[in-house]
Amino acid sequence: MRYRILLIIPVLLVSWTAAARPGKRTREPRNQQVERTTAAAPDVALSVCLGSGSLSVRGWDQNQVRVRSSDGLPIELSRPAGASNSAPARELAVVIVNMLSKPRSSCLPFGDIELDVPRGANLQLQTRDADVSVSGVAGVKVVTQGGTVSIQRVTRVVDATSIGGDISVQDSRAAIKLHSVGGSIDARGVAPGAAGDICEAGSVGGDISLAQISHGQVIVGTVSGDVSFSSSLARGGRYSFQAISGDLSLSLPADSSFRLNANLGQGSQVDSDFLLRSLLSAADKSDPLKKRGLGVQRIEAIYGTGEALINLSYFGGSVELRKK
Amino acid sequence: MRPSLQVEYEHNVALLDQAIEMTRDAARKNPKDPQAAQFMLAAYQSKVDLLNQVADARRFNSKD
Repeated sequence: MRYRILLIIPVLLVSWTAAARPGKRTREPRNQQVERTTAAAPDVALSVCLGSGSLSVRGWDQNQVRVRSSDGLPIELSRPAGASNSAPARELAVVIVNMLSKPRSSCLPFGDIELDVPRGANLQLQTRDADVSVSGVAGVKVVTQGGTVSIQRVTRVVDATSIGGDISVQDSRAAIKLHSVGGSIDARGVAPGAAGDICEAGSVGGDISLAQISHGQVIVGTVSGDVSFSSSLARGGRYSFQAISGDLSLSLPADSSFRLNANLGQGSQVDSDFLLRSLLSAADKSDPLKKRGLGVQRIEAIYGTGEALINLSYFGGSVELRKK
Repeated sequence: MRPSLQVEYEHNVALLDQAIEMTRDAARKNPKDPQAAQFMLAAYQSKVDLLNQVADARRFNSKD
């Protein structure tokens, strides 16, 4: 018993001493704004992890990163171990200074975080259900579980993944990759930032809406979400749409020129405003599998001179080709 | 995982299971049709992707 008391007393003393020191690591009162600023390289790589709340990032014309939190959380802009503190930062993370045993936690549990970053910045953002808004940066990668994601005016790369949150991308010239399990995806007014940039969107049950897409290659895949694509087709462009079920609506200018390759499963059919000319030979058309009405039916057709290529792979659901 | 997200996840797993069942049935009835098999593989792959994504989310949540 005496030994146990001897052990407990120092532990209590250490705890009391830590609690009594009102140093930098004390949490600031809630609703008090905390702001940190540091010099950064124009193409600084910045990472933020946030549980819930909101995260807003804007590009600005300064080679500085400024972070603000309105929740009084003791946040810091942290450089990697060994990095110079005097030179502009090439890599930064927003971290919370923890009062407890861990000196720093890499993920903020909650908060409303605002960041201003150089326009060439590349962001790596992760949230549980915090909403994310990004505008005017070079690159952004977002992973969220339930937060909504809104991205505008990105100039190099957009990569967003969500389980339940909706994803929206607008007015960006970038390689685009969007995936949501159940949330919707909406991309409009997007173009490639460099030759070879692809626009890719995928979901399980979430609906996908794409409009004014200038990429030369578009890849869309869903299990059962509805897909709407409204855009002109790039000359030589390749467009791929795949689904198990769910409907597809392609809304194209009347003067479009494309070749259509379609593999359609049971119950899937194409309804077209465009008068398509079949490219299948008589032998292909009399395939015994098709005669029995089983398996996959194949369509190879052309409209105009066939400058773009549309590949459809739909197991079920309807496919509509509409003239705008 | 938050309850609303758990519901979302379960709903989408059910969609995938339904897709797997439909495409597997078609592939079984049309064993010589490679496209029927492709649909089935795509459905299975989507389920693998979803399970991986949810496993990542659970790892993330357990660090909180």
